Amino acid sequence: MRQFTVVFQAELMRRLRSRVFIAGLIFGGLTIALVSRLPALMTAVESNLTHHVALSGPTTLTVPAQRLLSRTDLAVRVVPEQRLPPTPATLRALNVGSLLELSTEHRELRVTIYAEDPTNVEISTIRSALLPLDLALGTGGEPERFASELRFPVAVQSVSARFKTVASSLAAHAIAYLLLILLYMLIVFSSQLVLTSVAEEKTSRIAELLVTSVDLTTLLSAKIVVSTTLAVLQMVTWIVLAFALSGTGPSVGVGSASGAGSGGTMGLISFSGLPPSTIVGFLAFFVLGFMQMAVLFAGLASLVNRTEDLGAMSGPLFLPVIVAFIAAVVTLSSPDAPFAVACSFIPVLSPFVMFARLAVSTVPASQVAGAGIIDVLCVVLFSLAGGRLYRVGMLLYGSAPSWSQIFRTMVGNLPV
Amino acid sequence: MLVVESVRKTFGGTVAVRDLSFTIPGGSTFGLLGPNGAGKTTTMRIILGIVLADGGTLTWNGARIDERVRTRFGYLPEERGLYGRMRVRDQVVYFARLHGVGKTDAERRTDEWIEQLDLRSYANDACSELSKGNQQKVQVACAAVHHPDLLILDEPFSGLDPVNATMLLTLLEELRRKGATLVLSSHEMWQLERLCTDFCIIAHGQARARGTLAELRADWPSKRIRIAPSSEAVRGVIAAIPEARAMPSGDGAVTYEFPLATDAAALLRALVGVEAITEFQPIEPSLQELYLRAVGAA
Repeated sequence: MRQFTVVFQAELMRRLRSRVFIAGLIFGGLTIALVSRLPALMTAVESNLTHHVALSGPTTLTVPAQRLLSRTDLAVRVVPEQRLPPTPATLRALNVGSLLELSTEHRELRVTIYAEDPTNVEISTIRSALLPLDLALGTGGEPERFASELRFPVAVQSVSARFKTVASSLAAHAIAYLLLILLYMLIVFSSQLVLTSVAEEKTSRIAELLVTSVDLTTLLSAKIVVSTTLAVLQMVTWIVLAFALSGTGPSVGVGSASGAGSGGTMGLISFSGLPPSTIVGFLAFFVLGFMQMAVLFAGLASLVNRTEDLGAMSGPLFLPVIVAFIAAVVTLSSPDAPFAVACSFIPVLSPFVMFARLAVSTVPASQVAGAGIIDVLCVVLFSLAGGRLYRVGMLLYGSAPSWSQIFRTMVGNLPV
Repeated sequence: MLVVESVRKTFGGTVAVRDLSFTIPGGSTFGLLGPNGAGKTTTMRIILGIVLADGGTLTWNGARIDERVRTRFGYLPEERGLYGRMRVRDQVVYFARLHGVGKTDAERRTDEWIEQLDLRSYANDACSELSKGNQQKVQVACAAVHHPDLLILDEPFSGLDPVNATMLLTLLEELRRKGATLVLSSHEMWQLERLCTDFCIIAHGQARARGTLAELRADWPSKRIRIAPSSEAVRGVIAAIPEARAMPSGDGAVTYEFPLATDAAALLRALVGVEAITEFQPIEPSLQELYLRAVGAA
């Protein structure tokens, strides 16, 4: 235990002073702040492109159409008749995302929409809004009368025990997405720190001196614990930075589980009101996910004789993490689909996917426990394999071992 | 006392150490000699537990060598390495603490070593900023700062200039005086001859000769005597001894090699009878000669 403490202290100080850590701390915080502002930024960009609509055509059509469209979230104004089709420059000059050319044919309304990016045109909104005008043209009635008759209330009721309102569900998804990015960044960044730390000892040839001074299991354990501690420290710092830079206070925001949807922070992701289960799930699955990767990274780094080989050695290990992240993002949209449930129990994918499910769905306790047990077993299994690799790799100099040698090392006798 | 008995180690199809046995008395300085690839480093690594032997036994003061015993060992590996960005003082303190020395004591001992190794002006520098020789001195401090009972040094003098090599030699002698048992490998025979009390010469993983310098010399198969002047009369007497041969030197005297059974006193009497002998000095073989003969290169 005393040796563990000595290694822990020295390793902690070394890492805290390293440029990689400091740079990661700052850039990670900036990234989180940016991501937390992303919805607001996207809303701002979107409103410029898609929510501003110009109407052109005979006034008998544009005036009632403007009235009808104004009831949606579109910003509508009537412009003089334009030369058709308009150029992108024309749309930009009009400061709109699209131009609606209105006309009639056989007493039916004809709408032609000109847009620079047709995918951003809210066709269904426009069609619904202008339907009363079409009916009025066909029957000779009043558009306003048809509009009032076609208007009826639609209520969305959540049957989920988790989310009472659509707003709270959306907020949970946003936070889950943000936390997944954080989880991915932390695991990749912290694993990278373990990788460089081990590789430094190996390539600087200090390994031999170390192995005669300290038990390698103690050395590896201390490294992993230091990395986990620093990752948690980073996480806290990033979140605080994100709050500070995004100007979001801890008590307001759309992220509240109660569904507080405005409060002047519409479009910002706030961590306030995060349900405890999400926080616990995040921490638990971060630790499990990180430890799975860290021991494998440490084992592989111990095989590196030159720092130039680090990338080639670690590259394949990052692939499953990327796959896990993508699987988790897909899971957010359908957390209880068979794909998501299956991925929750697959090693390496499990910490990401199960956390995503926990954040946006009500996962049966048995599934959470099952995934937890599998992850713990994986940590044990990976620790044995990574630890073996580490113990042998640290003393292996010369040419890099082949994959078959690595395999034999992991299943054979120790040490060399 | 370290006892190595019938130790074997094979890497793949290569036998690195083959039934190697030797005993190192406590407080002695033991020279492990051998050509490159002879198995010296492997033997040291086996003693330190870095490499597991395939067979044989190792004991320290009668007890099996385990992790606990090894905390009282120190090691200077052949391949040098330090934490590049860690400061010299921090580095030595770190290794002292890894070996169980308390913080205050570790700092005090570190300062003593820094003083002894003339590293004062570099104490707060990052190790990567030091010259190769100074880095080596830091590594020696890291290996010995916890006052080990057994200090194993693999090629400790390589890379050191003559001044620093002499400084290290003096330091090692000081450690020996304090009771530490030292095991060294080096290709610098004069340093080993000055420092070591016991030797083991190995080649191809096998012990070819072992013992004190006197014991190794006792096994030398001939007698060497330096005789002056090198006159016709002297040469005539020597020519009468079967298998005697001259090993000329440039100063007028000649060293002759005689069969081991030659009676030196009788020879001197015979020489005095024919010539006014000015020098008649038995010459002991040097460690280098003993080494070359043992490894089969002589």
